[in-house]
Amino acid sequence: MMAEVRDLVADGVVEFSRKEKAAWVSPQAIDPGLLEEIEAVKIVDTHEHLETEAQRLARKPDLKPFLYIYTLSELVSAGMPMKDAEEFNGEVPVDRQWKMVRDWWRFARNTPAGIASRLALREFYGVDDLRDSTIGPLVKAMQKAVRPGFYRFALRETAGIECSMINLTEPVQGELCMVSADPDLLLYDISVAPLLADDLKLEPYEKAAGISCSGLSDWKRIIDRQFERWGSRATAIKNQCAYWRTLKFENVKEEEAAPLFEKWLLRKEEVTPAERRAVQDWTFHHCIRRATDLDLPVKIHTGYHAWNNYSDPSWFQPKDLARLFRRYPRTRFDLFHIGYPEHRDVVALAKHYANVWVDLCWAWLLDTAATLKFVRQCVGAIPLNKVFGFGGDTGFPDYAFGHARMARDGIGLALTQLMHEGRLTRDDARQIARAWLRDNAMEMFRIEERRKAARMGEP
Amino acid sequence: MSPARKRPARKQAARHPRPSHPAKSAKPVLWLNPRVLDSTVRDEVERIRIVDVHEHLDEEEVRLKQPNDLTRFFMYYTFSDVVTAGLSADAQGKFFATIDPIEQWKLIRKCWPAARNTGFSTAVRLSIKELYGIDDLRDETIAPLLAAVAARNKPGVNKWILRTKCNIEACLVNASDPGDLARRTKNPSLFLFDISVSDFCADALDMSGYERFTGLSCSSLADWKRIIDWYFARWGRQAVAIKNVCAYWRPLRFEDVPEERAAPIFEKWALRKEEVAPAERRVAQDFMFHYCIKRAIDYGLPIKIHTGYFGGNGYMDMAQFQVKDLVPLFRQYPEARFCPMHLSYPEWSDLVGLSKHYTNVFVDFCWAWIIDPEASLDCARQCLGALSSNKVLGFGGDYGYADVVYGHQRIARDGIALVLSEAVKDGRLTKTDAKIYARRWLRENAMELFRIDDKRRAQAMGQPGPRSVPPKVP
Repeated sequence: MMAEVRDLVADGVVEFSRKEKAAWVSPQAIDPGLLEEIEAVKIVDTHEHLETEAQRLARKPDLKPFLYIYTLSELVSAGMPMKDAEEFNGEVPVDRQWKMVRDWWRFARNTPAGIASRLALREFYGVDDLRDSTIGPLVKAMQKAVRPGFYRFALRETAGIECSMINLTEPVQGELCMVSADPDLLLYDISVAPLLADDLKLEPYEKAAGISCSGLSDWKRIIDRQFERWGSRATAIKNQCAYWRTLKFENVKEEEAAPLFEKWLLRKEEVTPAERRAVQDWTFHHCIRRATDLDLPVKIHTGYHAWNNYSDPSWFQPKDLARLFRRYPRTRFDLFHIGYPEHRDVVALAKHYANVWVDLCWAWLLDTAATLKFVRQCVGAIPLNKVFGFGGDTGFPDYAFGHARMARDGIGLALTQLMHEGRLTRDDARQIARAWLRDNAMEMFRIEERRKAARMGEP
Repeated sequence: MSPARKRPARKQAARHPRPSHPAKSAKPVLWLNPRVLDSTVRDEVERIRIVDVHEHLDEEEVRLKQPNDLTRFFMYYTFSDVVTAGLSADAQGKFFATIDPIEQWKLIRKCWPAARNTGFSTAVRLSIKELYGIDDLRDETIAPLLAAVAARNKPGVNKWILRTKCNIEACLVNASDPGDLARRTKNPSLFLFDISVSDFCADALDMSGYERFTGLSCSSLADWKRIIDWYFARWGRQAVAIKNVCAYWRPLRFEDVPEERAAPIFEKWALRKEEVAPAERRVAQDFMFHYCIKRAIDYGLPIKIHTGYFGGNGYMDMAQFQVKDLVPLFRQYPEARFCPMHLSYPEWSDLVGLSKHYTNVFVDFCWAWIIDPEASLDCARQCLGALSSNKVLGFGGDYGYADVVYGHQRIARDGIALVLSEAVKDGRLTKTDAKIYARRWLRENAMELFRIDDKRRAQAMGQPGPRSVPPKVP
């Protein structure tokens, strides 16, 4: 049996918790009283795509946890061929990975994603940067450190994260959510985006629900079954369909959607994009209604598209969601990624609509200047209970640490600037930091209740 | 902001004891730490007697009869932030129905801590501190605050707040007497008025009030034009601008519709009251706004248009308020002067771009400093770097109650001083230039654009007479 990472740290085999902690912003730039508060906050992390710890332990050490897709996207933006990026993400020896990225890394290492990569390298493995000479020591350090207990140690004790809400990127055997291996630390959203896929296949969902689908009413029962199964323990529903379609959701009636559903998904006939969208629109409206019944917030991807060379900004406009905000006043909408680069619209929407929250998940990795500005805007424009200050949106806890570090430092810096200008007292700044990084999410996502339900085991 | 501002009726005013020591403060209450401001710039900004380009203020005689409660501090803006912070629908209704200010406070006290740092709330906190010596709203400060308000609420209170405390030269007020398009005032010189043309673009246009007021009957579009002309003749010389807030109910794309196309639709919709499609109704509205623009040009009146954010909660459609939709008007009427209001928030970069490109487009900060102080600072920085110094109108309170104007103008003064101080510190602007910018933005541009001295002279020669007609009943 492998030794737990905690024991290795205690024995000095693994050198976590260095005397000099990795930091993005110089601590001198942040008010000491505020910094103390921010360091003490156990963050509620509103959004991750973390693989399971078992999956992580089964991996050979490589560069993926540091050059996660966001950093890799910056490398592609800098000129790295896409085919190399795709190969990098497969099963490739570390030397080959480094060879593919080394010519591009120097251009991207100061982008926000590059900074998160370097913060993770430094904090966990004592490596200050990626160079020819540091790859070998890095691999050795990873071999030592990535042991059972790594997630708890990395997320809770090193990144100071109370719990993370995870969004499955792909359904697992027709299930839109999963059982948590550590309900205290890891909670899951119900991922409804697969139900809105352009290449939707019904079979896995039929199998999971034990319902054969011969019409829209059956499909509705299948969806309802997922909500019944996961609704009490899930933290929210999550939809990232802005990656393949617009956020304009018409209120399509069931009798209009039913024949289109049958034509497209049962008889497998050719449908127009508008017909397909009508079915998707109906489906999302149905999911919103179910979420509202179960008091689950509705998380929606708005803004920037990950990866490269395909983005269509007309798909991800937060203002297109206003009709949903009006139609469902009892539903609580969580707009992801500050709608970047439409973050000004997001502030206006969260100010105007009582049922809209802003979520800085992923944002610190996208554009630090925009996010710092956004934070200052939020302080002056919207009540302090409407903001979620951090969601890592990463696949690896090491990288999540880098992002969390940037979020703490960024919020600290922006609030310090406002204090210096006389716009906030220290007490106000401390209260805002606590609310944004923890309290708002604890309350909105009813974390304690969800944990209790998740501890019950298999639903 | 809101096209309709009516205070809910109250049964009676609450009574509070007089304060033993009326609030006084030697130095004005500030928004920003003065140490972040260049002292020369700050001193200049403090000296400027502002022209406040947009208000909805009541006459003082109306104010003196209003109940003494929290409505003056919360309606509507701060209340909206409290709603956004989570005030229940039930409490929202009760707030404006209750007659007791302590009861009002009990309804909102739970949400106030979350909302107290927004721009809307900051303006309230600055105002109550400067005017009434109360630093924040808490259980124990509500009664003393209302007592201090009551002690000050005497003839002369508006001038004390607006002139003495806010150092405001004149307020351009968007308000009208019943049936009229502007207001007769007992405070000439301090209050000047816009001609409010929004109702001509109303979806439920009701001409009867205008017919009664003008004594002109309307049986065709030509008659309707005569009625519009009558109002321009009545107010054109002493009004400062025309004002249109129709973005609250329709998009800002105004087609140039020929009269012969608009006339039959107008008759069908507005005269015969037949069912029309929204697109048809818009055709008639488009024609009318184009007509008003032409009249405004004839009288040398700037055209103020609501762009951007909607006051209140839960209904905003951002497609309706896009400033870039006004471009066809900017091109078609080069001799008109357009003031898209409220920085077109959150589309202020579009507005700066348009104001840079079009000679006839000005940037108007009215309402903006309290909607989003950070965005306003950002826009001011952009204006400084992108626009001529004569294209910016730096302050408009956009309030119905004078008390809260103090906080708003404080944020505007300090904000402008900060942006100019930063530029002086960076070496991008000399102190002399910074002082010129401050004067232009807060006073001189508005004095020139709205021809304040001419309008005051016209007002002094006599305001239009009252019309002996009953007020329009809603």
